[in-house]
Amino acid sequence: MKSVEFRREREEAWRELERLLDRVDSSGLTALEPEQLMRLPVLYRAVLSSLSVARAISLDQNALDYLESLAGRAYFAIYAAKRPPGRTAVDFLLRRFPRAVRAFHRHVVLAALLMAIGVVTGRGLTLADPDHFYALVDEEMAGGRSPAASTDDLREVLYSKKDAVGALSVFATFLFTHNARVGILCAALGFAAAVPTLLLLFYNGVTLGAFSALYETRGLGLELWAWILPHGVTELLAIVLCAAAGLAMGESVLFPGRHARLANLALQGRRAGELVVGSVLLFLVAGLIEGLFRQLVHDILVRWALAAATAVFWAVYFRSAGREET
Amino acid sequence: MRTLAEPRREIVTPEGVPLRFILAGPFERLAAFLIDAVIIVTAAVMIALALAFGLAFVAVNAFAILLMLAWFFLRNFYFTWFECRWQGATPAKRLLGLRVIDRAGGSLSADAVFARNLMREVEVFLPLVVFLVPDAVWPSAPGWARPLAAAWLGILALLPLFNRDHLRPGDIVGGTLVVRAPRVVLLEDLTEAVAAAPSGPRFSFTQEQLDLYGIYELQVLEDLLRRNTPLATLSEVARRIQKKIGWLAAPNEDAERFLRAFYAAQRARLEQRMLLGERRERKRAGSASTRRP
Repeated sequence: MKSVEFRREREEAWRELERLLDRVDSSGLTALEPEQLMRLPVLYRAVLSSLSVARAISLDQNALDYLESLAGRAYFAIYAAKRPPGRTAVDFLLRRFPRAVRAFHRHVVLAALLMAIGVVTGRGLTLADPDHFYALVDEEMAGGRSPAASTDDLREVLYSKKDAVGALSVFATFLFTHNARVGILCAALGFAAAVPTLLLLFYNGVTLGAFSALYETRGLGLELWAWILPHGVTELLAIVLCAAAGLAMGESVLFPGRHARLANLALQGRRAGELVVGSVLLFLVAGLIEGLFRQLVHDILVRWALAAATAVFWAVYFRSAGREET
Repeated sequence: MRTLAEPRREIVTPEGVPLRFILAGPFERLAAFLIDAVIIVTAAVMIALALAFGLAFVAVNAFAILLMLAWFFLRNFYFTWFECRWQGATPAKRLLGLRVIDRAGGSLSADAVFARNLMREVEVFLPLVVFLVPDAVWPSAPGWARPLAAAWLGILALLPLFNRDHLRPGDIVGGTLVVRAPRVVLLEDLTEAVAAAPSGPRFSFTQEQLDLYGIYELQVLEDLLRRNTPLATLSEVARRIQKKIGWLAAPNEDAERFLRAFYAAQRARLEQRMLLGERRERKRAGSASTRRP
């Protein structure tokens, strides 16, 4: 029988590949000798061709299943291979992340705009009637900062000296993990047609606006922003990027465009994922600034200078990083 | 193991050869997730204990910081890290023989893995919180909003049950697919034993007798012969086949030997016809004797 002869001729190569794959499965690709590593793709292609032939000439179900599973395993080993993590990280920071941000610039602008509208709304409402503050800001989040608080108390928050440097970094870590999680959530919720993302983003802006109005009525407006912006530039940017990722995902759910909805989501989702990974890094930076710098530096000019410096840095980075090759 | 009934998905490799993978079912995936969740929590507890012994008395702050970071990274990057490093499998997936693959057949990229695991936050964590402590998510929610939000999240969480490929939102966003990757052992070709049979009666079949059954029946027979099927079943199968093809059994004929010989002859015939471009999937109605003129 043809199929029997065929198997006799090829079986040696199948077994060889199987042994290599067993080795890869138990101790990773790096466990292979260089010449074995060279053999892997050769054998993989040989088994793929065996599989094609076997499908055409053989009815031995076990042999077919075996080849299918062998080819599948080899496929995993070969196509899941990745580059060294260090180089991937550098490549991500210098090219992929800023490129992803540029690719989604419409969503980023929209997200920023929405947040700004939130700020204006929250500010307007609170200025019109300070009692609105209670409706707009969650009590827990306000932490005692409310229209009922005295001006001195409000000022106190801006210049508080938490005692030890140690406690500050705990605080910084908490802020980082908390904010990064909210950011991830904000992006992931984009899947639900972006509605929750929009709500979260808008509400975030409203809260900010309400605080701003509260401090403005006490003549502390500029000082509040000097308190927020040194880390806020980075943090708000990260929120906006996460939200942009969510919006992009929501957009591809609602308006798939030229591709099929599923294909489009997969395409956008991966790039949106890059935005979120980058944002986690931004949150880390923001957490560091917030937890360390802000509590230690009380000079309003230095605070403004840092805010401006971060803004310029991110603007330059996102505009120009990774551009030279495109 | 026979896998005819299980849903399969075809992936075309970059070399242009279609590979068929068995789709992983929603429940084995849930099981894998639960095992991974247990691993994550256990790891977190171990880290906490190790840190507690190492640091807590010396530097409480460092302890708190490291613990928070460990928890954050475990929770958000455990799946991503393993799926990137272990060719699309986390420890539990590997245990259960599951793999993440690229739906389009390309290589599984890091951003696809990250994107698919990003969504766990809304698929698992958020619904859990909504059901356990609804106030934590949306404190000032009006009464009607809560069931609505719960329903929405419920849909996201149960999505794998409602689509053909059992995609969860993360798979949709990452463009991935979870498949079963069983390891199949290559067994001896059944026809080799027939060819090597030492002595005894030789079975010969006419072409007509071999034109009754199709590939499906052949593979059912293969399966029977490969397993330790009880003799009674084999005799019964042999009897039915003999009736259908109009075979006159010799006295004391061994059922298993008959079946093996028939399998070999039948496979040779079907493979020959396949080479000529004719795949017969199923048997014909009737039997050899009734169709005789």
